[in-house]
Amino acid sequence: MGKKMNAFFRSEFFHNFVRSAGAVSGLLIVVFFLVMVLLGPAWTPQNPYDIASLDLMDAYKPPLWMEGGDPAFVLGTDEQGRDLLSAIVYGSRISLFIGVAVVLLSCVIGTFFGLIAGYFGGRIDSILMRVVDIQLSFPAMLVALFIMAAFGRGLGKLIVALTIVGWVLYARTVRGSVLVERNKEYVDAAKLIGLSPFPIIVRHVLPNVLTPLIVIATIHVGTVILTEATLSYLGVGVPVTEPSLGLLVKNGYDVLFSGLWWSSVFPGVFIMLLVFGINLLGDFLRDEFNPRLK
Amino acid sequence: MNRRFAAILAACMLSVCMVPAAFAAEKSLVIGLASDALFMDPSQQDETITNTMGRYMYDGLLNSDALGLPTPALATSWSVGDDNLTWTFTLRKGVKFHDGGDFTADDVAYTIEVCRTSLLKNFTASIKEVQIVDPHTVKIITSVPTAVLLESLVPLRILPKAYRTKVGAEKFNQAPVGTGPYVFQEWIKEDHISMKANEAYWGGAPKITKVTMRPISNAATRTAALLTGEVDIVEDVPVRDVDKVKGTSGFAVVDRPSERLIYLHVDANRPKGAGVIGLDKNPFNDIRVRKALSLAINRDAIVKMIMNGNAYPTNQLVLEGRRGHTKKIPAPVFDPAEAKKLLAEAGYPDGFKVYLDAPNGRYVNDGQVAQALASQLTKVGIQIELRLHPKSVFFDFVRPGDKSSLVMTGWSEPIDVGELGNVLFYTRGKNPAKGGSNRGHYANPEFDKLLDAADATADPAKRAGLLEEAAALIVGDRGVVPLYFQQDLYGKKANVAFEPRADKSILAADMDVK
Repeated sequence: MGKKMNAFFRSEFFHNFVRSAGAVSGLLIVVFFLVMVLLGPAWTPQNPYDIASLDLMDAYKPPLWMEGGDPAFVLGTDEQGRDLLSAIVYGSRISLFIGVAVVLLSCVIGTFFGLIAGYFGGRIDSILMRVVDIQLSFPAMLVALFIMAAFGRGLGKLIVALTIVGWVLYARTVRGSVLVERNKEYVDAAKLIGLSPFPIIVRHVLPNVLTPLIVIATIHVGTVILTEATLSYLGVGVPVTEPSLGLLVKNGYDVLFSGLWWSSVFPGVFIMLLVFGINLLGDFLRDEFNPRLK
Repeated sequence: MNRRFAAILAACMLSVCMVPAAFAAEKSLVIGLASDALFMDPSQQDETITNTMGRYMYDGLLNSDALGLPTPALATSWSVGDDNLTWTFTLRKGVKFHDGGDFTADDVAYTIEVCRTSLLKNFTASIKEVQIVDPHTVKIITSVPTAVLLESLVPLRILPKAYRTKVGAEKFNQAPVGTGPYVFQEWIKEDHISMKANEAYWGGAPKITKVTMRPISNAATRTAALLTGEVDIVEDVPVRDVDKVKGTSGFAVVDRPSERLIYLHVDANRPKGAGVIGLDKNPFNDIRVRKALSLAINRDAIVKMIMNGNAYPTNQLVLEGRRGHTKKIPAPVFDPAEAKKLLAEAGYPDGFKVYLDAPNGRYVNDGQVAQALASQLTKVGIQIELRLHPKSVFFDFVRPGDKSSLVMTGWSEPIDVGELGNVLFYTRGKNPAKGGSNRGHYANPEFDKLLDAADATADPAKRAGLLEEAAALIVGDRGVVPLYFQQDLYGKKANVAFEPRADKSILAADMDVK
């Protein structure tokens, strides 16, 4: 392990990483969010999803540093008297959870179909890729909106909807990589020694198509978080009693022009920061792993 | 021949004299409404903007005042016979339709006949027969004593029999004619309706001579149209724009309590609670639980924080001044400690779980109010699982049936507690005409008896007494938990003189521009 670590620290990847301001700040932001949400329930002053803990008379309190601010509510409160800081921490938790869950699911499903389509080709390939084409011809947001409108609000439904929208990305990319890999000598060698397709795909082809997957997956986490925020903003995402960042922005937007800016601005800033951090990381990975830029 | 010439000459001179005078007094008003009228013919549908058009271009036998109480219009006086069924109306003389035809008793009989088969037929249901005594007297005979006859005559706007039968209903809707204070000029659907003052109006010529109505469905756009000066007055200012309009110089916001009551419909009667979670009985059968329900709700906080102060906490079913509003109902009390105690006494020291069904986007800030209710009720032990429904499916979901035990909803009652109670709280299945929207399956023979007695009298004062009793009974029994009356909000230029009405019509005839 120590040796591997050592090798990693001396690698070109690590060398480039510490010299890229964007990548380091991206990592810092993501780590900040991870720490915040993992420790969240331990330190937030309130559980914003416990409706019995809310007091309507606390509604629309301004942030601490403004006149009328309350030390109990550092970033102020929303229209139900939710502590915004707590709501943002819990909301980020939902956002990150959805982001990671959807990416994992999409990645597994998409890679599976991509491998099959790419390796076997022929009719399976045609059918799968036409399905992907059809889906890619619709805007992802439209499809997700349609699915959510049909099934109603809910965390699980949201994950399913976004996965249905997201897997095609992976399928398309993996298939492309597999088409290149399957004609290489190591695959021929594996076939010659009598391996059946399944071990070849999993043990030999898959590791060689992982690199682009990592890049897509990183950036996809950011996209999913934004899509979730948009859906919640449009009122078809998470349940109203368990607001995510997008729903917090929406609730606050209703009173934005009445001078109660904090209840939409702060959650908005946090969405922006989170997606910004993830995209910085994703950009760095893309540059690193793109053979054409070497 | 000479005399005719002289008459024409006189008419010419008169009009020459009058034109500059009329020109100097030209006052126009542009009104921004939330939607377009569906019809110009007021007999076709009972819908807010269509009804407003009915007020502009037509009159009823009776019109209504700002609170909605009937006032004499084309009928100057009336009386009820000893049988409590025969109403005799004396009609106003010398009234002319906009096309020059005379208004007579024929038009009254014709209008009631037309409305019998239109969507206004509920207003004519109690009328058995219309007898024309002479051109200026009609008798209306009801099938049963009907105390609300006067109110149900208000929406029947008098149509010109001769003109409407000549041009047909379709054409009439495009070029309507009535006796009202304004004369139809043009209707471009979804764009504008324009009208000019009826100088010969029996109630005196309106001060505002030209009126344009513009449907602007988006609330923010409507506010913007007002602030840019495009329109002079708008209805339904969003709660969040109130401060903005108030803060802009040259503009003002006017409000009045709306007819719309927001309330909780409780399933007090059935042995099993359809929306109760994890219990084989219905806790709301126990009046102590229902009392706890009402005590747990902080109406003032909801109005202050969520409605920005733009609503009126209440325990009443109808607005003050209407039959069934009564001092016998005490103001609502907020006492969570007492609520907890009552729940414990009823056998639920740890509370119980129940769904609250509420619309999202049907009433002002309804989703947020429902969340606040969920929080307040959960605190005392009535643990709420909130189900918010989009407005398109809400009413279907909460139709009397087996889905919910606790529903937050609204009702706009234009007449009195009798009309409201008959639809919302009369025992289901007893009378096919009553209890149709009894979403809580409230069943109280005593309450039904009071409503039946109120319906069986032709004397409004007696009806009022019975309805006050009925209202006090059902609110005391917590068969319904009233929350608040919404507020109607209008934005206007400061130079527009305007008093809002309960029926939400913005009537230029009662307004002025300075």
